[in-house]
Amino acid sequence: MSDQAGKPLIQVEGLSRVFDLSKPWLNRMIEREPKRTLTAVDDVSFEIRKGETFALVGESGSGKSTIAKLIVNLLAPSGGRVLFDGDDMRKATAANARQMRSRFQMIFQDPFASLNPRWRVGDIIAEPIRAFDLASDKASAAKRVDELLETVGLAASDAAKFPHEFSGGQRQRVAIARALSAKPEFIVCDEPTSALDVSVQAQILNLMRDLQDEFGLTYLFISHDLSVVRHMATRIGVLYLGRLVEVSEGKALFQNPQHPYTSMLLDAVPDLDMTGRTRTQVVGEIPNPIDPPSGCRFHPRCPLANDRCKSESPILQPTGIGEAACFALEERRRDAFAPLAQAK
Amino acid sequence: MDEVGIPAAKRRMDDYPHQFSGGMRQRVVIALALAAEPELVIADEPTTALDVSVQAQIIDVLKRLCSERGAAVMLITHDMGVIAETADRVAVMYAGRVAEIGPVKDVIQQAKHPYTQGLMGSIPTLSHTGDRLVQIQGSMPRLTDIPTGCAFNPRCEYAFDRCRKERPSPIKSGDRAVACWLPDEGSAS
Repeated sequence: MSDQAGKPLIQVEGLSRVFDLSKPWLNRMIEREPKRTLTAVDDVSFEIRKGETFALVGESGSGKSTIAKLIVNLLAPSGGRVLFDGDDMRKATAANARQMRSRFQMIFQDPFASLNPRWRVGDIIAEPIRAFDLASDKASAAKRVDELLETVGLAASDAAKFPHEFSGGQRQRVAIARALSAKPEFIVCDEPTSALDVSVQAQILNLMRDLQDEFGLTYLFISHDLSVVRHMATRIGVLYLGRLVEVSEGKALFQNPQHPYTSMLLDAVPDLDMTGRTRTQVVGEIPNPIDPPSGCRFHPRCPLANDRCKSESPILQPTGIGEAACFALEERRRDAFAPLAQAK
Repeated sequence: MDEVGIPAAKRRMDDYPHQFSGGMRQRVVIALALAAEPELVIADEPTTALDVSVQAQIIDVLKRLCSERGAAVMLITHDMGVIAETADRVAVMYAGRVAEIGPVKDVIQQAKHPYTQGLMGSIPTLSHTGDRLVQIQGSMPRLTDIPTGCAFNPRCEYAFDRCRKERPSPIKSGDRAVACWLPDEGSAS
């Protein structure tokens, strides 16, 4: 993987997704209501390099999972495009699209819902192998399933069991084995550990890292847990109400957050070290995405907002460490706010 | 409702719960709990369903109101960060029994029970950048099938014969108590 490291595998360009929440046409006509739409993802651009773990963080409703679904083509974008290794999957021919599909997989949040309860684990893991015709016969498919189960730390004999016979952590291992069975290059992990206990979470995170080293995988890692993201990510994108507000190298983001929202988010994480640092009081909550604020969407909660923030919408600008979309940074008003980052 | 920080509380009195966001709903619940001026508030995972930024607000409200009214709080959570920030004393539970109890600072920084030690190591933190997380082997036993002796013994790297036969009770030392045979044996870490 080293020869291709740094080359973008996924390029996301100006991606948007709008959901229509309007009432049916007739009701709208009778009640004279306009169409109502929700912009879940708004003009988001980033790239994921080969072999890295790119993390997306943000609060509920910031559009993390929508982006994941857009990237794996489970949802169609309303604008912009996603390039996988230079090709747009939506423009590819059916045969090409199928071939591309085998190169990426997804791990879902809830291992209790993402595995079919009426299938044996062996069949669940073999499904991608069958779907993409990766094994010549049944015996070799079964052999591959056994190998996969051992790779993720389960026993080959577990293939005959049903999902309900496993604990949450073990089920997530099954989901990982299924994702690996098609030999993908890229795995989208949508909150893979948020349904698990911390001690089990540690096992799964360690496993995911080992597999990345072993198979040269690229991850898109979606989480709202900043400490997990810090542990896993090479680069991090911070989402707020469907917009990317900051993109930065993993460590730099935590040592020196640029965007006021990132600072606020980091500050809100309860802290095991009990340094007794004073926190900046978090103000307000994420607004309703049906009716987002004008200008910079963070301005109603931002201590640095001025008139420009209320009317214009900032775009990502290089900050020296990464990129951030903030007028306070551009105008160098951010300094007054700087001590936030220096608690550690 | 004003005290728990709901904006325009008067106007929202007649709203239904679904008209509130998650954080606001949790504030309503806190208001509800405090309405009868209780001496003890039991909070079962009060912030687990919330985002971190909202979680910080809720913890603040809970702490402030309870200290103002002199109410005791029993906080149940799996989030060690929340405990470190909020609690005075902490009891670590394993398979239905208390493994370790003591002041938060001591338990978190110098855990004595091997389970607590493993648990602390498995939490990724913002300040720490190890390559791998400590992992506790295996998973929680089924509660219908708790191992004999110390419930943690099959997963414990220090387990010896006595752990497999006798169940340890919390042994007091100062303001802490640990249910483990190790300190007794003098071979503890």
